[in-house]
Amino acid sequence: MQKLFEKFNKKKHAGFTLIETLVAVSIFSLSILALLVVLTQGIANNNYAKKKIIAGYLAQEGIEYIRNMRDTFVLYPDNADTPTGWVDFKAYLVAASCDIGAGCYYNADTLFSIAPPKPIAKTPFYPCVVSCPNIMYKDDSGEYGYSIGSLSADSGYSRKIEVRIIGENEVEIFSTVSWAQGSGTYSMTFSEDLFNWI
Amino acid sequence: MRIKKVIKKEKGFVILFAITISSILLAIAIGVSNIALKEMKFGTLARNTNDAFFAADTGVECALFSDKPPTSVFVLAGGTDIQCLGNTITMSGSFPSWSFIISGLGSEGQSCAIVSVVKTTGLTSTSTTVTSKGYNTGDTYCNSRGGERTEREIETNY
Repeated sequence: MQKLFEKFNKKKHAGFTLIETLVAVSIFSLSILALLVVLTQGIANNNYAKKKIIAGYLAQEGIEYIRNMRDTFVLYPDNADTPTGWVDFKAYLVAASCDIGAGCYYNADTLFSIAPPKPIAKTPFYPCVVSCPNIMYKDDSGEYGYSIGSLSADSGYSRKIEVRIIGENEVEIFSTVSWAQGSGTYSMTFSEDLFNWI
Repeated sequence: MRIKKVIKKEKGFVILFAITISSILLAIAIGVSNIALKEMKFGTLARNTNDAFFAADTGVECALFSDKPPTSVFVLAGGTDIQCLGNTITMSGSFPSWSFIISGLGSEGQSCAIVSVVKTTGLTSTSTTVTSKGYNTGDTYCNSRGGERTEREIETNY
């Protein structure tokens, strides 16, 4: 009787340990799974945040560049007696099809080789026929541009400048930076209205 | 009886071990997601900052354009309407201080700015202060739509 009881008791304990192990393993696997999911998501979100911040700066640069062009055109007109800087500025953007369709982009990389005065007003603008080309990135200098040498690689960003002529004395500038990440395409747009106030 | 004692002694060790390890791993996961959340907030803030700043800047530009001679409205017995964003905006106030609201700014028309213009007449010249408060989000009266919003203020003196 005593032997039988002991045998029964031992069996009971053996079964209990198995369930205990199963529970432990499942809790362990669940937490590993949760960790993996959260880590993957966290790293993806970190990358997205990084790309978003860079895109923000690139879009900001687009607005500021056009703004600086406006200032240069208006403050240093070709003919000081009959200043037509504002009209020239608008015409310059319209000539590159910034006001229609797919927008335009500018290439400021050769700015330093353009003869003075006011090289910024001679920045080459090109229409984005179907889509704007991607900006190149140079790893060693942290430089973004379109023609910055052979060491540069595709940054994955493209910047589109759009112009809306609101009136005789007002234009609205849109600067959109788009990038592809994972399975989606993201974009960041800033806009500002420029007036002929100078 | 002795077997029973041994088993009793080790009972619950595996589950304790598993929970301890899981807790450590979960703490790491929470740490990582916390960093990710902060980064996302930072990225969004960077966008809101620019939206608010460009709204404020548009407000200043609009005021400066409306103050351009010879058709400045910011004069004694000047008009109450200004032309900005392709619309007629009615100002409140009269000489020497005015204020107006421009809305529908930003990429999605969600930003706005509250602009005030103050003229100070001196003995020989008149000085002007344009203060523009830009918000990344706001309705037609530039009131908050709820939630957090970012303000950027530009002051111009001339």
